[in-house]
Amino acid sequence: MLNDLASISSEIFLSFVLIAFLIVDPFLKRKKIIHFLSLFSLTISFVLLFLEPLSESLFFNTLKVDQFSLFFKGIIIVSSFLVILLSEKFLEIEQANLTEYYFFILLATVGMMFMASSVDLITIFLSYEIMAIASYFLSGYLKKENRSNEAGIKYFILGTLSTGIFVFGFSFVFGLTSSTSLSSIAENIKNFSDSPIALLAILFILSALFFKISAVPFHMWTPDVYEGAPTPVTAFLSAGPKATSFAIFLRLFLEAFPSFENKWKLVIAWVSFFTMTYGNIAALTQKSLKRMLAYSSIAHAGYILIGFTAGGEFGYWGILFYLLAYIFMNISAFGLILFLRKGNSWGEDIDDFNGLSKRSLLLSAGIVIILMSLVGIPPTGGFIAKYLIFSSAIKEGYVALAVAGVLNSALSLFYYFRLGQALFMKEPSEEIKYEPDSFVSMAITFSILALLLLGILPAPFMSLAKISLLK
Amino acid sequence: MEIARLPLLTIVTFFPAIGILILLLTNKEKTNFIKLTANIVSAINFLISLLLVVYFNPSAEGFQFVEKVSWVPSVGINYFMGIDGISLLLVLLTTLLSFISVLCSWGGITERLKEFYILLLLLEIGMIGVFVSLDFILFYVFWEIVLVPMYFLIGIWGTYNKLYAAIKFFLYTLFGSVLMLLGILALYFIHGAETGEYTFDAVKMMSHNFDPRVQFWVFLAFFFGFAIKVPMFPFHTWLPDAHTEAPTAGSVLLAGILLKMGTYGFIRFSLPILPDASRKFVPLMVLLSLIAIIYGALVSLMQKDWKRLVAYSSVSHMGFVMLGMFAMTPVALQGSVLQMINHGISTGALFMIVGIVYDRRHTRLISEYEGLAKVMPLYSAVFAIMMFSSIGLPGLNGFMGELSVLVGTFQVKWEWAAIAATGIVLGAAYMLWLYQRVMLGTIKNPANEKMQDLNLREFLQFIPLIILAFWIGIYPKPFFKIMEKPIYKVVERVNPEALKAPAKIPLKIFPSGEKDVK
Repeated sequence: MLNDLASISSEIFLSFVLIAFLIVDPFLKRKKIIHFLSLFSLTISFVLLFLEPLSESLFFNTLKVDQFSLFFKGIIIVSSFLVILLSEKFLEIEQANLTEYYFFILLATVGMMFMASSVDLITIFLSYEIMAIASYFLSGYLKKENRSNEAGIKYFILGTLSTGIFVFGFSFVFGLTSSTSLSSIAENIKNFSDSPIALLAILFILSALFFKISAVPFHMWTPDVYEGAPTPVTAFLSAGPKATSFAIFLRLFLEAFPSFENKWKLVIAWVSFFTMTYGNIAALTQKSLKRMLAYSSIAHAGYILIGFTAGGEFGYWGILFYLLAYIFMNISAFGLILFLRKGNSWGEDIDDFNGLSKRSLLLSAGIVIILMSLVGIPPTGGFIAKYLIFSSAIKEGYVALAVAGVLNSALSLFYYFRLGQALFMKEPSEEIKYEPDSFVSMAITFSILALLLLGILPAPFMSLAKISLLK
Repeated sequence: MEIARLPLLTIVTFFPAIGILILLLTNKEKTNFIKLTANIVSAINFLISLLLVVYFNPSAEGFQFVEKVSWVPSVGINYFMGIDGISLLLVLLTTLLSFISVLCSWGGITERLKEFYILLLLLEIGMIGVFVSLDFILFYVFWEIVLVPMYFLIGIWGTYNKLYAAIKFFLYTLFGSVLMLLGILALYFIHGAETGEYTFDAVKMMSHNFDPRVQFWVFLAFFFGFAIKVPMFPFHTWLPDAHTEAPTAGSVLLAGILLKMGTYGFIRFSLPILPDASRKFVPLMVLLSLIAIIYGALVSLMQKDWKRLVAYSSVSHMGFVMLGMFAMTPVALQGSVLQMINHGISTGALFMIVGIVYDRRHTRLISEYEGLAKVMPLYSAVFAIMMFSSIGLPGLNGFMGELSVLVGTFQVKWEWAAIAATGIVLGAAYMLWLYQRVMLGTIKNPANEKMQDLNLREFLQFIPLIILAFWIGIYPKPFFKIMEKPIYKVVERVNPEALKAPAKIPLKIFPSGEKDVK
């Protein structure tokens, strides 16, 4: 049992930090120190990841720490770290409560880390809820802002509904197999391959996961929540929870339902096609950068699902690498908004970026790199990610899906480079103030360098993703 | 021989990066320093590329100056560079035209100099990289890198409709290149499955015989990538916008180099790797080329805008290149490659010629100019030379290229050559008519009376192009010699019959003195 604890030392450490936050908070005069404490504890928990011994079965077969879960835990911690860097200035200007904010971010982080290693329906559900409830609070964090309230309520109502569907699916699975552990589900559900109940259960679980990764037709909440939520929270939602949802998606379908592969693959193939196409077409006309990126994240979910459909070595490999590049692209893209002030609000529209290159050439050049990565133009991480995904589709013979995917990613150039156009080819307006902040700059610089590194020297990261595949 | 051991191709490709770094660290107010740095860096890079000629052995088989380092070993991506005669000529053209286009921006570009020169140097890296890469992924990386600086060059320093032209150029070419990427991936997996070696090494793929059905689909995927870039007939609509709105340096490089990336792609990858499909596609490719030749020329005749006229003439000239390539005889291919170089020289120069009057008058309408020869004698002389080079007057470069293409095509089907020849006539018509309208006659518009003739810098930037035009026109043998080996290799692979019947078909029109390949 003690060995079991060592395997989740990182999570345990973060949980203690969470409790400490609550105890210490009333006595703190300068609450800003919480910001540094969060960064510090995330760093420690990242280091602890390297010390966690791998284990096939923990706590009566409810958790599993393999390379796969470590990979995702790493992604989660890095993305939370970057989000916290983005948050400091934002919270100060919005005069929001500090401790609770960092508490919820870290709480969601712990939830996600457990989710990445869950191999039991109960732990999956619990960790999923820990993450989800923290996310609902975070989306509605700015009490005085209507948009934020709307986002919080909307996310909460739709989120709980989807969780209900998720659990409904679980209950069918349990009814059929009398087990909650993924490995024994996989053993038993084979016998029900023609049972409509089993198919219904899988369909329910799929729908709930499609909601989480915002795939068509369960994507409706995404633009509104992403637009309404406080910007650092949007960056958070689009990175960690998305990556973790894909992790649990992979875990569930590859470990529990491999015997239904042909059936769910068909559904995912079509969902993938509609998701990327819809996301791209809807993004074309957006004026708000946040909404545009929200639709673009729908499109990205579609590309990742191509890897899911194709499967095979390249497909799952591609998904992992894609998610690694994706957190850097999305966090930095949303973070850009924190550079611009428009009166009492933030420069959230694409037009607000007009002429930024005249104020900061370096930042504008960096933004172009982020955009190139989002489109999938080399030498950036986004290219290698798309290369792996499309490779898998070609290799496994899903040529039509690959063609749809590349045409979609070429189309996405049109809306992403509207931002590039604004930066370099329009005149700046006096109304917009460019206010660089050292923490935000740090997060964005780090992300841009990471994207370049992933694109120019991808070999070590590709091997990392490869050894992290589910066995 | 120490120099020959240096990684010359890497140096030539990435040398402009030094310039980019210096410019990044320079204050943007120091305009003269910025201009000087960019000029010096691109000039040095041209000189370095001349070293390639010195150490290049035209009679050796295969690729030279090869550099191969594993890049992503797990999927078989290599940093693999090497050149043969065809790519050597194009690399030289690239370094020369890059230098000239940096030079020709000295007076024309007045704002945001720092960004301008950084983008030009970045563009140079991408263009050279395309011509020296022998690994498909490396090639694709450079291929895409080219798009970004060109997009910003058109979008920031372009004229009137620049935003539209910039995004149209970017979108069009990206659509083509992502489909090409799928073709590359298909080749990779099929080559891997058939030989057991998963690699993006293009040279290995050239010696593998793919199934004709596979070739068909991959050819189609490559076709979209390359044909949009060339551009071939139905895909040419981005070209007039991009060429017309781009700043002079951008137009020179677009016409001079970027279009060649498409034709280079066909001759380097499509023909040798997909020979069966290439043969199957000959009728379609020839048809599209002939349409481009005639259609491009007819549309040029109708243009009111000087620069747009030159842009459409590119469609026609690139039709010649493609026609020669898909005639697939050694002579036609030689003409095709030479015509790539010629088009870079003459059209690049013609764009600079438009740029010079545009800098002075800020209009490109042909009707705004008349009788310029009176006030600008030197200018009119340079224009005349370049016009004749573009038309294909004997003694100038265009003649050699077009002649070889026509001779080579004639051997295959005389009808093709006949149609193409009418294109030459039309070409003479629109160029001469243009010259007559803008240069000859009397000056009626008072704004033209005080037009300044070429200054020394402007004249100097034409000198290398004029020398090359005469050199290729009078003594093209060294050029044919350099490209001879690789072209025979391509023909051997794609159309071996052409080499088997020497009695009917002369293999060379300019024998190099060695004994003929039988």
